[in-house]
Amino acid sequence: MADSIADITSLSDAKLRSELVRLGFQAGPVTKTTRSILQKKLLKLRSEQKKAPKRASIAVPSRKVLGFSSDESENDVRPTGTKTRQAILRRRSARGRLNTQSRRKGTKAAEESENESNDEENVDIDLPTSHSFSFLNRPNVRSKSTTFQPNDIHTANAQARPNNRSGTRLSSDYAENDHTSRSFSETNNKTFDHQLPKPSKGNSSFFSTQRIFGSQPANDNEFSDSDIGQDNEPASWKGKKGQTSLGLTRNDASVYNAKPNASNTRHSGTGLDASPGNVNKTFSVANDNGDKENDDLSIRRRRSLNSTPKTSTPRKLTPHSYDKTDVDVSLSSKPDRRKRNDISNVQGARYDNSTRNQSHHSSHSLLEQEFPTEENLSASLGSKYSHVISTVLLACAFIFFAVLGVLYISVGSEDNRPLICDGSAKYEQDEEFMLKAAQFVSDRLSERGGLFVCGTLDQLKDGNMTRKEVIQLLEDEFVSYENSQGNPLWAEGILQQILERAIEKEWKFQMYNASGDKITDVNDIESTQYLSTEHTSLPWLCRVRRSASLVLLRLTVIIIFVIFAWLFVLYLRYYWRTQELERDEVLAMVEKILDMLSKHHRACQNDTKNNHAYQAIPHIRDSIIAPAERQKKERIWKKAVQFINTHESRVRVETQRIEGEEFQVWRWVQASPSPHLTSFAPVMELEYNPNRVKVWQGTAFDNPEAAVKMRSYSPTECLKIRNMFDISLESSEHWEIVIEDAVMERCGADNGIVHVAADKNSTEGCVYVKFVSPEMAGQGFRKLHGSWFDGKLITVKFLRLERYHTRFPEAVHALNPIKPSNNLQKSLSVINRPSVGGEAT
Amino acid sequence: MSTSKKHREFVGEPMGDKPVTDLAGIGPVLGDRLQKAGFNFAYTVLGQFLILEKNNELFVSWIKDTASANQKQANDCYSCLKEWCDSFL
Repeated sequence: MADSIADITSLSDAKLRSELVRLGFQAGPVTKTTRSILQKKLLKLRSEQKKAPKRASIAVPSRKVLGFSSDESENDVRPTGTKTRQAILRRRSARGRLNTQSRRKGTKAAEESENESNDEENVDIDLPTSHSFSFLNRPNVRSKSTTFQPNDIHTANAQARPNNRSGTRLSSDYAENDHTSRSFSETNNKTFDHQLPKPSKGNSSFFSTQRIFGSQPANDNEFSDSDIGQDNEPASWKGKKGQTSLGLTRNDASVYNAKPNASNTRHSGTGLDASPGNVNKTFSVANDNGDKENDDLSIRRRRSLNSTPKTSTPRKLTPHSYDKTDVDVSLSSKPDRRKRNDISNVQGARYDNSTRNQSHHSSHSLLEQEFPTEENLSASLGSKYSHVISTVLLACAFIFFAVLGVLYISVGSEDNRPLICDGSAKYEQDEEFMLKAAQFVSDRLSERGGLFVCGTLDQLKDGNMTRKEVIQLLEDEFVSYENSQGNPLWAEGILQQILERAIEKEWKFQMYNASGDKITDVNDIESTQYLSTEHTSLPWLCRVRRSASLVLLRLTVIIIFVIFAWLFVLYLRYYWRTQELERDEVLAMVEKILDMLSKHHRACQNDTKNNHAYQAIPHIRDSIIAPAERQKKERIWKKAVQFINTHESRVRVETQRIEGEEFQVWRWVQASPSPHLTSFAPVMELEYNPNRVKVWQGTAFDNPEAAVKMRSYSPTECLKIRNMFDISLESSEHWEIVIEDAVMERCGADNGIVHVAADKNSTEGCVYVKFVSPEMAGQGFRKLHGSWFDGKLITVKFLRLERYHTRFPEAVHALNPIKPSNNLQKSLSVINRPSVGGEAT
Repeated sequence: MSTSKKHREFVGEPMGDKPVTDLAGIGPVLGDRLQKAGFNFAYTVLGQFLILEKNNELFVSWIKDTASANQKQANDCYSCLKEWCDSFL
């Protein structure tokens, strides 16, 4: 430490600063005064940094981990997270066992070791179970599907994992089960049972699903043996856990591969031996996919595990290089989109590993290297999506418009459907003629309808045509048609055909029988008596007239509406104006009343013998409002009374007996008949007496410190006092000396005034004072500022010394305090004036 | 925590040429020490405060070193200057 101090003190300023910045402290400038502080800071930072590596294993992951799912960080933060691998294993295995072996309790180490030989297989299975359980259950919990197809799992996994909710829940289950070794949470159990209705025959201690994951007991043993020959039994289950977690990281692959097995075993219950191969395969595949390093590391890890005791003494987490390979493997083996999923799994696995591996202290840098990688991954996920989003938006817009266009076209085509159309070429020439005839009939019908609507033809009773009329029209029109010769009934035949076609093809004219019912059936065509169409074609003039009348109608409505709105606005305005006028009048009335009351009050004060200090309300009204106006101003008066009763604090309402009759009275209750206020009222006879004695009349504020924003320090020793006198009223000789004396007297005996001068030319009544020191000036300021002098409110401000000296050059050498011209202290005497009753200090 | 009268007075107005002793937490003794160290006015202390980038930790340790202030005095002074800066800078 000592040498580091020397080291730091020898640093140059710039070096010191750069060193601080390097350690992540944004230091300010290094100056003579700050240097020692910054040196200390650097020392502190360095010592912290030295400590850091030991703590880094926790601190760094927990910081970085924030980028991951919440459950992982939870794990990190949780105190249990720092427990040994055994603790976690025990927890998990206990959990598994709790599930499988009718919730047997006992997570204690003793029990574990006791059961070890028996449960070894169980443990091997159970462990994966808890994992596989989490994987297998999750989809079900989310999707509630009772069937358990691999596909379902896959998709559900992919969906459920990213938001990690189920993951979180599971981890919380861990936490719950940690110490209390409680049974699984209800939902989990249920779903679990739901999925797996029957326990497998071969081993009643676990469900067949446990095997789904692919870590069959036998298989597991084989597996671990094949991987690490030297693993002894207790160690192997630990190692296997590592393996399972490894498998977890590749959950997709392993779950996938194992799944068919699982479904088999579930039903048969004898598929124990069948699955191992498969599982083995998945693992080996995964391993192949990963680096070679992976294997080495896993072996190393297992070895270290072998050496670890089974006690649950808390140990620090030490993530190590293995983590990285783990991550890499899992990621490389899964090129598809489910990255979050993977990451969280990886995280879980890595976490397990890290807890397991106490002996492997990896370097800090490796950690840092690792975490950014994952963060980048998650970040790249976001960017990937964001890239897609724009395209998706574009596509959506395009599809929208395309659909819109199609809709529009289809609608348009419907509209464009000809009134009478034939649509197929199978008709012959005769048909062609018939179509022509139909069009003709339709046109006539439309015209007829139009005429009817317009009302131009008086004789038209309705817009229909009778069958006879139509036939007549047809005959007249097509008299030259060749087929008509010699066949008097051809027109009728044509009509018949037209009508049939009309019903078939929904042409736009309707047929009615004699009783006025609409005919919709081809068989009833015979009974058609009237024809009409909804599609009326109006004559031009008629159309103009109709639209004109429509426009006029609407215009009228709008105009009426506007007029109403305008009237309403006018009324509102008028209302507001009258309100305002009335308010003004009320206020004027209030003023009058107050004036009267205060006058009366003053009169009462002056001679209290015969006057009451109150006045009856009716009396005030009668004296204010002339008799002729009383009726008219009744309203205003009432409002004024109301106003005074509610808003006027100086007036009190009382009930007094006057001349034997009770009246509501107003009493003027000014809290303190202050001399300041009364001094506002000019006392004329005194004012015009030049020989009157000018006196200090107290301060305007009870507490000048609070009322005036006094400076707590005094910048200069010079003061400028304003409003001391009125130049137009000063006529006596040496009046300025009186004023100057007044200032000095006000400031007290030891005032420290060295120079004082009344400005005879100023219209503001300025007096300039110079004190010995700024402190004295401050005292003078406090005494003078805001006090009344001869009915004037004094204001004081500080003046710069230079300016004072330029104005009064003689004051430069004035250093000795001066005294007033006399010792009478006239200005401090109290005059026997009622208005100056309470002279404050 | 309510602030002291001295604090309020200092924070309520521009600093002007106030002496160091007007700073909250700086009494006559500390003020004397500061003046001996060359900090005659409140604004010099403000300068130091600013040069330490308004950093609580640094300023407190500085004033502890320079004026042998205790933790409370140092914190008072710091918060006083901080608040003054917040309203006037």
